[in-house]
Amino acid sequence: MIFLELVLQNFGPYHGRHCIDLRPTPDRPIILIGGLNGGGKTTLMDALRLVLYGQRAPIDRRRNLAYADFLAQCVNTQAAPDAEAAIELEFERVLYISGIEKLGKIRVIRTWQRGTKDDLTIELDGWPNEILTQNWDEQVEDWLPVGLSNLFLFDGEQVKELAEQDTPPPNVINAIRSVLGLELVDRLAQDLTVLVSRKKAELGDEETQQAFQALSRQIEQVEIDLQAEANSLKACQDSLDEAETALQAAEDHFFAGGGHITEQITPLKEQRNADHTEIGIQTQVLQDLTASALPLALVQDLLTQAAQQGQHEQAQQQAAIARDALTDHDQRLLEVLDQLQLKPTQKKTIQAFLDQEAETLSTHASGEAWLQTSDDALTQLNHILNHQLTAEQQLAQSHLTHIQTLSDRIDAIENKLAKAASPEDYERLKSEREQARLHLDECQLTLELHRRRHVELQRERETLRKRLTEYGAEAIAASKDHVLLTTAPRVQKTLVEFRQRLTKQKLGELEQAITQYFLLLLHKSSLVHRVMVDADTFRLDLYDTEGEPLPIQRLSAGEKQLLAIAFLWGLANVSGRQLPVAIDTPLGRLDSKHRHLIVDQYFPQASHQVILLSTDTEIRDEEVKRLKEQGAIAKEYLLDYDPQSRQTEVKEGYFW
Amino acid sequence: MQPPVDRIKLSQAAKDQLIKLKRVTKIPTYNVLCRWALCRSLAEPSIPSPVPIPADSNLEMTWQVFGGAIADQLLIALKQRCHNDNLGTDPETLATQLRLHLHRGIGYLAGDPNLKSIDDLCKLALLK
Repeated sequence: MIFLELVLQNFGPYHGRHCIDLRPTPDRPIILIGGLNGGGKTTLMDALRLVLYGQRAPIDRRRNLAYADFLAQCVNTQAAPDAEAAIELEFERVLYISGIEKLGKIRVIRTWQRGTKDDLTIELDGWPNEILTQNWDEQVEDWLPVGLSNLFLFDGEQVKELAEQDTPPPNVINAIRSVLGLELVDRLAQDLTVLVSRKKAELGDEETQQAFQALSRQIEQVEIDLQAEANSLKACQDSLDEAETALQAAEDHFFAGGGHITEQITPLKEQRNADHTEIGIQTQVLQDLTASALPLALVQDLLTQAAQQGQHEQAQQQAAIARDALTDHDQRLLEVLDQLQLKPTQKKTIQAFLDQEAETLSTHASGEAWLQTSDDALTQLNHILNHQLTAEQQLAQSHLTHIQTLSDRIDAIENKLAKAASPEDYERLKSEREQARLHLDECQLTLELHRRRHVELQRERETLRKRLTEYGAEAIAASKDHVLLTTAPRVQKTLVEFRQRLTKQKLGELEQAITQYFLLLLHKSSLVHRVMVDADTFRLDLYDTEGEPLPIQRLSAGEKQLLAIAFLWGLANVSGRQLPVAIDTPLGRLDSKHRHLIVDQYFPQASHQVILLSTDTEIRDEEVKRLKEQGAIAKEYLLDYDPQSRQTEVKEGYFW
Repeated sequence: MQPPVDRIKLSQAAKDQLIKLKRVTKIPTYNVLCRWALCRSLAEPSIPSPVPIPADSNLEMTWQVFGGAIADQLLIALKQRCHNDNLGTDPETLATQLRLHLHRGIGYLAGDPNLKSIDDLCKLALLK
């Protein structure tokens, strides 16, 4: 990139239109512009920045002014109120148009009036280019990043701050990164992170959504199934109830029809026959009893009377026998008493006693003996009355009771048998009952199956619900399958590795270049042996010849400026970008020895185009001569400020 | 003891009734039924009407066959009844009364609507 021409119109002290040709000639890179303080050198520098970056331009004088106010201030005080201020910069660089490399001339034109915003026009090879105009900010960032502008368009005195600070300011760090090409890697890593997270979110969202919906659908389906299952359960229960009722009815029917009796018909008949046989036996016993003494029970009274009579008759008989014997005995006793010649009274008493005894006996012996039964018969009668009859009565009673029981039982059996169903009816009733039972079993089985299914579905629903709640984590785990997400960390790792190695390499180069340039510019070459650049903060660390750390604070202001210049030089060199360098107050407070080193070593080699803005005390006659001896100066200008008209004229030639 | 009669010949009516009783009670022999009939009548307080009873059937049995093991007791009961009825116990009276009581008893048993089986017959001996 080479600046070809800078046009200033009503800008700052430049009244009217001023063209400065900045073209270097081959092997003569330096454009030397001289000017006294207030002559417009810094304005020139600001103009370069303003025309390239517009609102974003890093200009010290703007401070906190609003952009429009700053623009208004920049308009030349002598110019008419409605005069148009403009800055035009033409430069040349390689363009890629439709895949073809081409050296193109680009002209950036920024115009404005007091109180208005600036208008930007970009011309390509003399023709306004709409696309470039609209995308200028992006385009200029590509060609000459604003962060880098401080490293290529810089103030020699202010640049020492770079070296003074412990760590460079962030914009400088960014610029350094960008220069070293680290920015690309960082951006790549960042982009990748963004991509990964975006993809992750997308994937997670989408998959979770899908899975969620799938789960929801599944749950819905299960709910429907559950409902259906509940319905069929109910139906099954109903049919089961029905079947139970039917079975009950069949049982009742079977019972009413005597089916149950038919089942027991054989044992019943056997029982009946046995009972009949038993009754026969019992009846036989009764028959035997009827043939014995039992009928006498009817005439028990008569027999009792007869027994008494029999006893009576027996007693009579005995009394009669005794009376006969006693009569003889009494007669003989009386005869004996007569012989004893007892008193008549005594005799009378004995006679009376004997008569009375005889009387009693005869009374006993009297009575009709009509029964005239034998002793044997009487004994038998007594036996019958006292023992046999009662025994036989009891026996008969027990047998009767037994027979009664048996016949009752037979009656019951007969009743049952009468109710028994006929074989055909029995078969029909039985089959009906069997069918009902079978149907009931079937219904129970179906019900059980449905019940199980129901339980199963409920369990499934629970599982699905649990899964639904757990899904978030699972979905992300599942999305890990995605290739991008699996490879991204690896790529990131590689990028980190790449960055580290690149940084190492680039920093190595940078350190080498800085050390080399610093030693080149420094006349106390024994002071510093090595310059190290911190990989993270880009802080500069110095080491002396002994290898001991050398704090930057120990350097003088001039040395710091040299270090900063060496830093910039090194950066510009390592970056590989072909950019013009513009330096304001390039020598500042440097002593003559260092000036010579700068003038001899740095200026001619800093870039292919070096614009130096100097006062007459910095680059003096001596330095100009030295540069001219080297054949480094392409053009010389003098900014001639007229205090009367408060205008600056650009003239060819330097102070001398 | 001296039996009141040697043989007993029953009337045709009595025989018919006995046949019925045989069927009802399933007692195979007439003599057992006749014993029950005699006792049944003797147990009745009223005196049997002295009506002529023809011996016009071919059913005839000796006293021993009639009385069997309880012949003496039956005679004793008959005698006691005749004595109680103040009819005397002479053999002729006894024979007549035996005949009257026997036939009346057969009539009672045959005419008893409650007598349907041997059970009912036995129950007669258990009542009281």
